[in-house]
Amino acid sequence: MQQQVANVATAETAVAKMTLEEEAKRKKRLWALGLLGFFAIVSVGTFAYNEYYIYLSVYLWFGMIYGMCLQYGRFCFSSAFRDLFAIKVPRMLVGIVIATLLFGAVSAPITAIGLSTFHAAPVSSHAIIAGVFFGIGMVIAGGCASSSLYKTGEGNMNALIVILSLSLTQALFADVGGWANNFVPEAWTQSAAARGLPASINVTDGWVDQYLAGYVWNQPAVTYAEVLGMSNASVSGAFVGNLLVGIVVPASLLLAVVYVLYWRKGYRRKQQKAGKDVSGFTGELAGYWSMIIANKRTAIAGLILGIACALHMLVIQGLRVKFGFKNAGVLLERIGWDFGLSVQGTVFDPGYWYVTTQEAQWVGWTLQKMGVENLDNIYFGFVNGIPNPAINPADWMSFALIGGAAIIALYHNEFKFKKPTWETAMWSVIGGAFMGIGARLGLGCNVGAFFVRVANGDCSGWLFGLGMAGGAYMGVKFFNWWTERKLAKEAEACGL
Amino acid sequence: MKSDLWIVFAVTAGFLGFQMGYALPPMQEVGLSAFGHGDKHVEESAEADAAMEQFKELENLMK
Repeated sequence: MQQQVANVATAETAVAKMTLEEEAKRKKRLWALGLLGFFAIVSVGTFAYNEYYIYLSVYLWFGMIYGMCLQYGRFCFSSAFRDLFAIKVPRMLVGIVIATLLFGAVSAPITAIGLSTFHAAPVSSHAIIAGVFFGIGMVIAGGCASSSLYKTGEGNMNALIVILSLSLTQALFADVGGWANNFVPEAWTQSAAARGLPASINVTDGWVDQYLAGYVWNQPAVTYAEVLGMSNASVSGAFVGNLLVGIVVPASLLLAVVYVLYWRKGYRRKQQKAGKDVSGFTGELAGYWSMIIANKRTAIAGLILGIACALHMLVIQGLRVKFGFKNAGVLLERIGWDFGLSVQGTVFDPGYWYVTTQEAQWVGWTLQKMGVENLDNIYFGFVNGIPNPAINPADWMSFALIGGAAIIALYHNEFKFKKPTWETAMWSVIGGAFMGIGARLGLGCNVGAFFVRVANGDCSGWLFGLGMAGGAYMGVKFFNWWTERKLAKEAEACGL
Repeated sequence: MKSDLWIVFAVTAGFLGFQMGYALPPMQEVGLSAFGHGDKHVEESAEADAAMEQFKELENLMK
């Protein structure tokens, strides 16, 4: 009898637990629908108020897609390199390379018809150095610029600290002058001064200003198509120059190297154990293919990301033609938001997926409101501006990216509020700062300076990637050293 | 309840579809029919607004 009562009690407890879990899941889904409803109301409401707001809504909904894809595919450059160098698992890296290839394949026709919003960045060794800074930072922080956004959407507060640190560092670094001018080569200062920039831009006071106007702008900004003497906006240029030569060939070679160094041995051992023949070229090809399809989730996310990125460029370009402007600064002026525009009347309006500049901008705007004069530098004052984050097109994309990631995380019961510890917060701040410096030196992050550039045939993209890999390797080695040192200290304290 | 994830996809697809439809006519006017000859379109744009093109060259340098 007692046993029966105990069984009934256990069953009731289990049912109650299940009911509670179901209730928690239901609440999370309601939160997800609430978020979706919020974005829908913002889009419809602003469009009803003024047609021009559809331009910002385009950023918003594509941002949502990016967030959903990133969360679903666990798309993280930091994990990709950390897994490869620390535990020799190449799955995420392969997924990212495949995603880049797919994005390139979808971008090529957009480029061929002359509707791409992409512009090549200057090519020189600065991209490698910037990549090194960024790579070190993302491993230390435990997330790259884009993954920190989607992880924030999952409730990870360490990721939020990374974003805050990255944003603040960029805003300060872009404006640092005075003592920092002592580290500027004289040739940069002279070259920057000779640019003839508007008087409101104090180009000879500021490390980044002189770096940009005195060095970076002097470097060629070319795509593979242009190097081969083709026009980007042609079938041969877009498909042969940018896609085949700029993406397919180097990506295939990179994957081949990864296969030989990190995949082949394990694959062959498994196949031989199963009694399968892995000899000859066919066996190698089968192994190569097995590596490519190993991370289907990231590849699927990459495919959707690629399509979304290309469509984003197409829709933005269509709206620019429709409304008759080439930069959203004009749009903001038309709808009455003219504070924080650059001296040229422009704001940051990439026309495609981008992460870091809008993060720097909202901190720049906040600092400006606190009395800091930061519209006299090139980054904010001459090009990107510091518009109110509430009407900054690229900020709409980032907010929606976090929202999109939150929606998918809530639906998959992967949303969890994670409080940082003092130690993880410290690493987030340091890593974010490194990434912020790397992003400003490289004029972009793992998305803007690597993913988008490589996919669009920009010669600087792979250079940044090379630096990022080197930096990530250093970051992994540093972390291994740090962990071993910490464990040794703890063991010593325990008298082991 | 789980099936209502499709609501998210449907709403997102709806908004994106609307935006694409909104942007399609001007694209057809100026570029979509120029497949493979997009360079001509680019040249025309450059002539039309030289100052903004100069900015476009610079904008990517400073993101």
